[in-house]
Amino acid sequence: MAGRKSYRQEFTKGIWKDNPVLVLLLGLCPALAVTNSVENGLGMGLAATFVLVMSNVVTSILRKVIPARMRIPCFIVTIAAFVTIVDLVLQGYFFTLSQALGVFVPLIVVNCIILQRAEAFAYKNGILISLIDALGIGAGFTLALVMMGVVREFFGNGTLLGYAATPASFHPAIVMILPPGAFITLGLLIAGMNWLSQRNARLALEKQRAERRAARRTA
Amino acid sequence: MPEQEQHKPRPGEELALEPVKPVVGSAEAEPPGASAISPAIVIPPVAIAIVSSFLLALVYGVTKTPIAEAKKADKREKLGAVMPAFDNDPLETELPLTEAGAGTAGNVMLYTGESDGASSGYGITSAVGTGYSGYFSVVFGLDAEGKITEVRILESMETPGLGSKAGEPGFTSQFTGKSLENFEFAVTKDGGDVDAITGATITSRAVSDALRQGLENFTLPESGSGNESANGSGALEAASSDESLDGQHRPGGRD
Repeated sequence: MAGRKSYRQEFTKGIWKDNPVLVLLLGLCPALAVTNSVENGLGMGLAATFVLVMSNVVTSILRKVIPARMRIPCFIVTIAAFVTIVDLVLQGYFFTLSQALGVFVPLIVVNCIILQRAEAFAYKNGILISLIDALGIGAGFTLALVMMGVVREFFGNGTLLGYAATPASFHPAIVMILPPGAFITLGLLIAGMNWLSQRNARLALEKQRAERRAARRTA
Repeated sequence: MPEQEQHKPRPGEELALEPVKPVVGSAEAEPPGASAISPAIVIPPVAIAIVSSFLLALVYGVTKTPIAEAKKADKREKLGAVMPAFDNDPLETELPLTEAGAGTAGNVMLYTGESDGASSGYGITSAVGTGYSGYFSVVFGLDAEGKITEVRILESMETPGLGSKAGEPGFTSQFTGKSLENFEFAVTKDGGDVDAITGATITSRAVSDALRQGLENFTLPESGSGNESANGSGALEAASSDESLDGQHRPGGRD
């Protein structure tokens, strides 16, 4: 049933159609809080993706033995275990990044994207497809966070990945790295995304009509 | 394949669902019908919890040393950056100056830098609870005269890119050469001498608090008071303080 095409669909849906941050509006807390620099957004995205992949795979493997009534505690314990692993590894081997992400790494436990994917997808689907789903959603989450980080770091600090990206005469707008900047950036990104997808839908519709017209004419 | 599995109850689950009423806690469920807690519903979560704890214990064991090393390296690097030149390992001279334990607000630790066997300067870490997100600690160096050489943030949860600017030279350089005698460690808004960071007054205040707390708990050992190492530290200390005076005392700082 699940052919090659549907694997690809499962992957790309997380990036575009079902992007967790920009379409489903899930996991907004880390998306708003840590994205004041590209590095933080990327680190957070990758950490959450790792947890998401592991949690989806484990949930999928155990989906036949986890009783329905006890599934949420089981999911949370699994997720918490992997988050703690990520936290310890970051502290041990990526000290600066773990300092920068601070409390938001432990908070991945309650990131609703991860629980939602376990609940809505991995608990009902096979291992491979759950893995692909997690990778897609994780990529969408990471991309959204990096995009926010780019916008906010550029306008709020005049740098990109810590390197100066603007002339010295540029006065960074501090508001962009403060909480209001997060909301403004998120709003603009969502607006841009809606505009693009509506435009695509319109173009597709017009193309369809044109084809139908052409077909009628030839008939 | 995925969808059809969704609502079909599994063998164990069917059994467990029969006495429906007491759904919540398994302990409460006992009196009406003990069959509410069937092995099928208890074993999986317990097994998952046990496996998880073993996994965590394993990872904790593996990462314990690297984490301690990373924290130590961070502290050592920052002490090296703020203290006058030394040739010992200051981390080995750690001495608590307040009763608050390490890692809690109010903690002040003293590190002594030695050069050729005599103390060349001091490093102090000071933690306060008044940061933008609570716990906040700085590390700063003192020359042999008790004047601040450099300041760095040790641990903080301040807003990255804003409050974290408190660790950059643009802010910290105003403390160089200062001590309690010639500087009021409070932001200008509160009537002190500290130029706060735009948009991060609270963090600037926390830095001021931490520095003041550190300095207030520190008394410069009297040279020749005899509590130093044996080999005539008084004279050597005087010599090194002269040296640092030449190097450090740029007239007319920023105030």
